[in-house]
Amino acid sequence: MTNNTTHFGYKTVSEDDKVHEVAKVFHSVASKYDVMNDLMSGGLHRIWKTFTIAQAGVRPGFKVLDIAGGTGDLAKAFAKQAGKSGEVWLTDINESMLRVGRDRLLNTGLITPTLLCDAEKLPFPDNYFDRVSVAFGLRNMTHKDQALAEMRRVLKPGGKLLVLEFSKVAAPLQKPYDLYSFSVLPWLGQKIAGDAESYRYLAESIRMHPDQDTLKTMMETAGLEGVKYFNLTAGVAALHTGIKY
Amino acid sequence: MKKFLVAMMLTVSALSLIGDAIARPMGGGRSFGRQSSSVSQMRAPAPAPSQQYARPNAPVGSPYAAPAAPVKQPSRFGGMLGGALGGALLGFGLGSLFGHGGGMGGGGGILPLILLAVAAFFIYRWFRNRGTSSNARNQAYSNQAYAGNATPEIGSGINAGSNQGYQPSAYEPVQPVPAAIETPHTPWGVPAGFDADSFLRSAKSSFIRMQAAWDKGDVADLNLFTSPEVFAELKMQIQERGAQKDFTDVVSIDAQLLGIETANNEYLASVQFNGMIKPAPDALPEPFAEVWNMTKPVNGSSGWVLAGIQQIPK
Repeated sequence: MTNNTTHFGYKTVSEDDKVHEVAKVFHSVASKYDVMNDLMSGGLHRIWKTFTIAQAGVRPGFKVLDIAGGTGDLAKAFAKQAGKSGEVWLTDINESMLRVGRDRLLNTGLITPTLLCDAEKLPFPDNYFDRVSVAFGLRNMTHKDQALAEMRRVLKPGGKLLVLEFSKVAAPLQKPYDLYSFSVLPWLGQKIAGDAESYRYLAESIRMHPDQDTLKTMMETAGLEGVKYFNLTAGVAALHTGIKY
Repeated sequence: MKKFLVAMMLTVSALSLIGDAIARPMGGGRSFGRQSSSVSQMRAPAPAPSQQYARPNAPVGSPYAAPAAPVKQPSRFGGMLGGALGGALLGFGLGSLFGHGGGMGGGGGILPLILLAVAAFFIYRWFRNRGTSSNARNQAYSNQAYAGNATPEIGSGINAGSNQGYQPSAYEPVQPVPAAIETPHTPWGVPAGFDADSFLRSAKSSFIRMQAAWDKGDVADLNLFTSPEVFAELKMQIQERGAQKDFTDVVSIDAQLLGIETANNEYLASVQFNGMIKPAPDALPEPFAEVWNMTKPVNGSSGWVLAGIQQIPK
């Protein structure tokens, strides 16, 4: 047990506890994750992911690592684009989520390597992947700087990192967005997944996550270059991309 | 106008092709290798149950008890013999239909024989229920390599009248067959405690992987997952097609474990695959459905291999 502390939503917990708490949240929501995503974002998460997939520009034969791939939305698209000569890894630190993703890929005729692993200690060699993606996962990581450095390490020179994450919404939308996040979201979570607490964590963790510019700086500090971001739906989410040279 | 007519004709013929299209996965859409008699009987009652038997509403106890025993249901013909005769007559009718329908290739000749065998099985079971000799058994299983080893206690009803192939939801609720209790054979079901989910996941992976190996003509990979008999057949088909590669893109796949039998010191698991495949890169996905019979030695000396592919009748 380490003595360092970090945030879990608005709570301050020890780093080890955060890992367990995050795991608990995703074990709890795994089976209804997609339904809830659709409901909570009004289907917007699909558009955000489609944009991310387009920005990734995966071509046949590419090696792609999808971190915190969860239910496999990105990995599924990447696997189709990379084709039979490509290599797309679906990874997540949460077994329940990974199980759902693995089965879903299999049901669409895709066999991809599926791996339970910690993004802060990636079990891959240096300079291996053409693309690394993490969608709605970085927020839950305890040491984001370490995770970003690992992502850079496994990228080939010229490879691209894509980070899709909730971000800081534009100022005029702040109030309605807060109302939605802290009232509607947990209520929806309770009604549909029977779990208000996990969705309260979701709202809180979004607020604690670095805003667009802070994350951009973090990616640059991790050694990525040409970092830019795209605000999606007025900053509700943002896609950050960076290249390793 | 002429162009329009040509376009219309092309459209109509294309649409009729779509209507008839059944995709052909590895093996060319044929049955070969080990065949499960229990699966064979899925075709036995054909449209008879849905058209002639009353549908009992009793719930089914076990998911794998789903295959029904339609011959035990009351029939308009009255009694078991009526059912058997009805099945036989229907068999002849369908047989002649396919036989003269054209476009069925060699299948037209085999189908009546299969239906005859099935009708023979009905008669056998009727005799057996009456406590007569077991001579009929050989007759019923004459087309099975392991006759008598896997007597299915639970038959199955298929709503073949729908023309959409075999559909699990069309199963009739189960009525246990009393005669089955006295047979020493393994029931056609899944042993308690068997991890069907993991098994089916592996089966789906094998299916997808083997389609890829089949497309490439990678006989070494096929060899890893097939029995010698199936491997020989697949290798022959690959040699027949020569340098030409096949294309089978599995778009969606679902698997259902129909049952596990024990015969000749081997487990025989019948897995029904349903889904959509694209037979060409630009083609539309087409439905497919077939049963893979997978075997594994009872002593566990090796893993599951594909021992036979069995087509599901329409």
